Formats: sequence, structure tokens, C-alpha cells
Amino acid sequence: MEEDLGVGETRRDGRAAAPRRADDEPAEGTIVVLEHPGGLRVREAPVEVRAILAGDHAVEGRDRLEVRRRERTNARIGGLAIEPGRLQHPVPRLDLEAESLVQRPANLGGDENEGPASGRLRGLEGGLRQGQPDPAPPPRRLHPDRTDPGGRAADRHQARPDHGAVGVGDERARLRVARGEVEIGPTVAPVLAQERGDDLVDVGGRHGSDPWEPHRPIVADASAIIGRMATLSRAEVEHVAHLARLGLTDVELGRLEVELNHILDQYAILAELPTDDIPPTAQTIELENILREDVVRPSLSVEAVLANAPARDGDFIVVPAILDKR
Amino acid sequence: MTDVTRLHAHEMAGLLRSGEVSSHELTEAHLAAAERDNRALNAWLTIDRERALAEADAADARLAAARTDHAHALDRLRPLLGIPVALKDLVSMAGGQCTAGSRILAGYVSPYDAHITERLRAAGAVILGKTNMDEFAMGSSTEHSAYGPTVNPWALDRVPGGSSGGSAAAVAAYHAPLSIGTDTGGSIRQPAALCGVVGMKPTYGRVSRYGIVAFASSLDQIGPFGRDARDAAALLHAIAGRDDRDSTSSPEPVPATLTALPADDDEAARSLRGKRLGLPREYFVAGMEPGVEARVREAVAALEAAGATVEEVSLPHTAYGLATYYIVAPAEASANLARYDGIRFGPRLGDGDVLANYLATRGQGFGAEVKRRIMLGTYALSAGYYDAYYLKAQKVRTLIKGDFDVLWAQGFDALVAPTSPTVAFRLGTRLADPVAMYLSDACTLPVNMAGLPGVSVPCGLSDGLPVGLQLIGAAWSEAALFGLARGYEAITADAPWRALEPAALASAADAKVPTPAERMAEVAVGAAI
Repeated sequence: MEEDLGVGETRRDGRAAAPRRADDEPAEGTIVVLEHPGGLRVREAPVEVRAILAGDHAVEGRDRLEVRRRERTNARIGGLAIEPGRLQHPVPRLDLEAESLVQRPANLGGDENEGPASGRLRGLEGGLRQGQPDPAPPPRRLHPDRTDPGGRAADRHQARPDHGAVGVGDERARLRVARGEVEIGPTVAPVLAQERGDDLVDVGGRHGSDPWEPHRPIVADASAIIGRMATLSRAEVEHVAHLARLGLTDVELGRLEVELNHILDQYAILAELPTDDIPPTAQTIELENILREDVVRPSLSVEAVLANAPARDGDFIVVPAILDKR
Repeated sequence: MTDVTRLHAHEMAGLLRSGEVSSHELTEAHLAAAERDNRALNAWLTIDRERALAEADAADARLAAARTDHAHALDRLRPLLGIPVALKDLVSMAGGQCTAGSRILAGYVSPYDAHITERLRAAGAVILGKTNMDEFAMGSSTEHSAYGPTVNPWALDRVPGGSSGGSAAAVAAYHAPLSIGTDTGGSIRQPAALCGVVGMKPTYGRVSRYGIVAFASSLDQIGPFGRDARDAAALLHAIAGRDDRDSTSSPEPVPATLTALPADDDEAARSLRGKRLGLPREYFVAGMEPGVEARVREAVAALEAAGATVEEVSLPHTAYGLATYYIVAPAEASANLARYDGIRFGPRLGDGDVLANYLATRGQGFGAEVKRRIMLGTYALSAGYYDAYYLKAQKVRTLIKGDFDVLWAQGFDALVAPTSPTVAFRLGTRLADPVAMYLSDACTLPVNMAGLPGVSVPCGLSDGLPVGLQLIGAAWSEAALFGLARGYEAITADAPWRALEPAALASAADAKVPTPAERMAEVAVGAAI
């Protein structure tokens, strides 16, 4: 069987790389190595995500992770041509989401072969349990028939009757498997792990309904997000509503979950367009450096401006205190 | 004398100069029509009778002074002097309301004039009031107004299109010869098509947006409605041009030819000769109504018969326009609408801390469609998703714009396409499915994505409802587009459908017809509004 890679292995050189050691990492528990085909730049990636997608990018930093582009990949959005030798880990894209949203007991982590990274960085189950990876996996034709040749996603769930607290994505993942939507992603080899004092590997997503809980987006390649991963859970809908400072009723939240997912489905069409080399268009007319004369002009009177204030005290707008009055 | 409300603005201007009618009389006639029909149409959110008549009297004074002055004084008067105009209710007018169709701006009073309001005042136009619209211009039917829907003067159980549905309906119903709209994804052209009037979305940057409620800042543009090309062009001329309070407004000169479209039909028809027009095959989309396609193809045949050459062309990225638009526009909207927080203006709800006030004010102040778009936009811009959505959409936008650029480089004068794939649809029928509603703009929003001008002109009826022909041009080609539109009007001047008035207008004055809100209450049971 073709083997999955362990954590942190980047096999651009075609050799089987040893699992990345904790010692190699510049900061304790912070390295995230991403491979991704879409030129994704990760911003403010959550520290909890310890995704390792094989090695064209290194992501560093604790709270603000930055992608360092080492080399362009030949992978394309939408998952077409992948150069031989570049394809390290033909895991269904689904897995990134599925795994990343699953909270697992840490003791289900790796096996002895994992080396020093064991227990620190945890790969997908396959990668961790199948011994050494194949040093030169063949290029794989990508989802021509929308199947999951390895059956990994389904296997994984079946093989894991015991896995612990289940995050919001898990049920979606199962549904997608059941619907036959699992596809082979181009080069995504996500390995999610973290080291913390606690027992759970928390790899992103939201697990509670507390809107104040920081959101931990699942960092994946852009095409995967826009293609097949665009599914919002109820908890994510609640979180987005909080970000937007919209107080929504339960009925509204339920309706939005359905409607937003329906709309996001329409976005999937964009994943088929390769745009790596296309510059973005933010404005359509060629205007630059528009400056006006630096002259004094009358401004609105205080009275005119404050006339619309919902609460007023003299020349001030009254607002609720945001700091303690002490 | 015939009903002055049936005249075109350029005809009214002639009568004003000759003294056959005063601006006061014109204004009074239009106010009376608007007040009479508004119960049934709900096209207006405010009708400002006193102010309008005062402005009309001022215009009459200027006309009288010019008449007693030297011989050329009348010729020097601006074309819109004394002409009634309607403003979409997102255009600031000092001392007046500006709701943008939203509860969250209920009671807000504009402290200043928008740039275009200043320009209209300077031109001597008489502002009758403010028209209904989809909340924050988000919608294609005017059903998403917090103040009840507007209905179509051609069929009172149908939508007028949107978001500038009130402005389109007001012009179609002879409440004003001219009105102002805004177009972010088709919000001028689509209601113009559905109401059987002329509406133009100018080039991005052609008109200053200072004082306009912002929706999606890389797409929004202000434009005119009229009942013919000459009127709409004259209104555009009055509002266009550089304004340093809007750094996206362009110094590109505003062509004087906008006010000099040929009055003579033969001359206008002759101008079509030799014009090279492209017919984008992707705009004849699946789901297009056969009646709409038939009218558009007839119009194309008429243009060819008048000497234009028409070639089928391709805009290969058209299919990606809708998804791209519905990332870019909501993303920008979510940022623009962050300002509505109940702190400095508008209602402030909730009595707790700042967060509780935000949640209550915004949760109760915004309607369903606005919330949907804020949610979409917030999600698309949130950490980890920016590149996947917004950046990706901006890149696809480059491709969409490039499709058009290729055709301009090949020498096409304009593209000819349907404005809307369907005629006016029944109230409530697309509310439950946002994606179905969004498809209303499939033929118009690529034009916004590319920043180009587009004009919709009536080209006949299908099942008794208006069909719009869209003409799309290169940047800054508004005058040429209006020239083509004027030529098309000339070659179809004798078409029987041009003599028809909106079918349902006669019953609009009937106090027994249901109001739009009552109709909506019937159809919207269970629909997500």
C-alpha cells in the first residue's frame, strides 16, 4: 500500500525524510509546514493548527503565522497536473477538514516508528500507523471520477470508533464521505497535531457555542476552501455573526446556515479557474495618487453633526462605558 | 392641454422656455400623480411637496428673468432647469431623510448635500422626493425595503426590479420624467428593463459618490433614469464629472455631446450605419425567457437593418461573474456597513454594554438580505479565508474585465445583450431562494465587475411586460452608447409597443387595489424576507 507520510516530511528531493524533530523547530510547538497548491498565504493562522501539508512552505510564528514561500509548486488549483515527486500524500482533501475538526485523545497519537516527533506532531492515522512512507509516490490523477480510491476517509472513521470528542466538522465529513464527495486533493497532506498540556489535540474549528471563543479557521489551500470545503456549520455561522456584530435569533441563524451554504456552493465554480498568475483587480479605472489641494474648507457644524446622535451631552455623543468606572 | 407628465424632459424644457407651462405647473402635476398612485405603487418614500414647489418657483423666476433679458439668455439656461427629478433614497439631501431603505437609518436626517444633489440644484432641477429601494441597494426586486416593496406599474402584482425599483417605477408611472439610481450589479439597468424605461450605469468613476450611502465601493456607480435616451443623457451630463471629495471620481472630461443627441429620427438612425456591434453568446443564458430572447434578437435585427454590423462574440468568463460578484460585493458591503452601529447616528437599541447595543442595533436594524450579505462578506474576509474568496474573486475579476478588453481592442463599438433574462417576476417568487434572486443580475453584473458603462433601453413587450436591451461600451463611452440608444429609438419610433402606457397604471389610483404591503403579506407567508 502506498504510504502516507509522517509529520513534517517534505520529500521534494525524493528521499524519505525523517519526521521533523521538535528540536529543529525555532519555537516550541509552533512550526507549521504547509504544502499547498494554490499559493495560499496564511494570515493569522491559529496557533492550534499544526498542519503539515508537504513542504513548499514553512509557516512560523506563534500567534501570527507567516507563510514563507520557498518555491512555487506546479500544482494547480482545482487539482490538475502535479509534477512527479511532488505529490507526497494523496489524501482526500476532506481529511484536512475532517481531521482538523476532530478532537482526539492524545494517546491515540502515533506509534513507535514516528520517532522523536511522536506525541508531539501527529499525522493522519494512516501516516502514523503504516510505517515508513513510500519514498517516491507516483503522481496521481486527481479526482477524475469523484472517488476515494484509498477509501481512507471512510476507513479512518471506521477504524476509529473510539475517537474522542468530536468537533463540528466530523458529521459533515461523514456526510461527505457518504455522499461520495470525497476527492483526492492534489498534494494536501495534512497532519495536525499540537503539543499542549492537555489531553486533547485541538486542531481548529469551534467546539462550543460561546461567541467569545476565538475562532480557529482551518487553514487549507485556497482551492480546497472554495471548492469543496465551503461548508459552514451552525457554530461557524454563530461565530461569523459575532464577528459582524449581528444579533441574530435562532430562527435567523438556522436559516442563514442553510442559505449561506447554498450560496457558498455557488462559489465552487471558481475553483476550476487557474488564477495563480493572474493579478487581482481592485479597481477598474487607472487613477493614481489622487490628492486634493491642501486648503482650509468649512466643515459641518458641531450642531449639524450631533443632530443625529442617539444620545448626546452638550458637544459629546453619549455611549455606554467600555472601561470600568473605577 | 395634454397631460404634461407624459412629456419627455426635453419637451418640458421647450415649453418652459416658451412660457407655455411653468415649472410650478409641471411640478404640481407630477406631485399630484405621485401622491395619487403611491398608495398602490409605493415608489416613493418621501414626497417633499413644499420644498419641490419652492424650487419650482425659483426656477420659474430664473426663466422669467431670462425671457426679459437678451435674446440668448434662454438658450444659456441649463437643460434641467425647472424639470422634476426623483432621487433614490440613498442620496443625501441636506435636511431630508436618507433611509437607504433600512430601519437602521430611520429618522436620520442628512446634514449635507451629496455631490449630485449639489449638481442638480445648480442645474435648477426640482427634486420631488426620495424613492424606494432594496435595503442598502441589495436586491433585484425592491422587495427588500424596510418600508414595503414597490410594485411594477405594468402589473401591480409584479416587482419593478431593483435595487433602484422606486426610481424606475416613478419614471415609468409618469411621476417624474427623470430619476437617479445607483447600480452595483445591475440596480439601474435591471429595473429600467423591467419597468420599460431607459437607465444607464456609467463608467466607474464617472459620477462622484460623495454623499451616497455606500454598498460595494469598487462597484457602485450613480446613474440616470429617463423615458428616452436624450433625457437620461442630459441627466447624466448634469451629474457627471470630477469631484475631489470622491477620490474615485475621474477627471475624464464629460462630453458635451450628452446634451446634443440628435432630435431628428432620420439623423439618429443614420448614426447607426457602420457601427460594429458584438453579440456575446454567453448572455443568452439558460433560463432566459423565450419572449425576452425574441425581443432582443428582433432589436438586433433592427440594428442590422439600419446599417450596423453585428457579430457573435464570446465573453468566456461570464459564467464566473455571479460567483465573483457575490464574493466581492458582500465583502465590501460588510466593511462599508460596519459604520451602522448606533453610536453616532440612527437608532440605538439595547440598553446594555456596547456589545449588547451593537448586536441589538444591527440585529434589529438590518433586514434579512443585508444580514445575509454582511455574513457572506464577513466570512469571506475572515482570517484564513481572505485568499480563498476575496483574493480569488479579484483575480477572476481581472479575467472578466479582460474578456471585454479583448473586444474593445478588436474595434467593437458596443456589445448588445439582454438586460435581464426575464421580464418582471411576481412579487414574492424569488424571496425564498437568494440564489434565484441573484441570477436576475447575471447579464448586468459583469459590466460592473469590469467598470464599464451600460445602458438598458426598452425593446418591446413579452406577455405585456417590458423587455430591456442592454448596450455595453468601453470605459468613458457613455455618449456613444446613448447615441446608439437614440438610434435604436429612432428606428423603432413607430413600433406599436412604443405607444403603450404601463398597463396597470390606470388602476393605481383606485383606492380599492391592495397596497404593495398587503400584496406582500399574502405572498410572503413562509418566504424568507
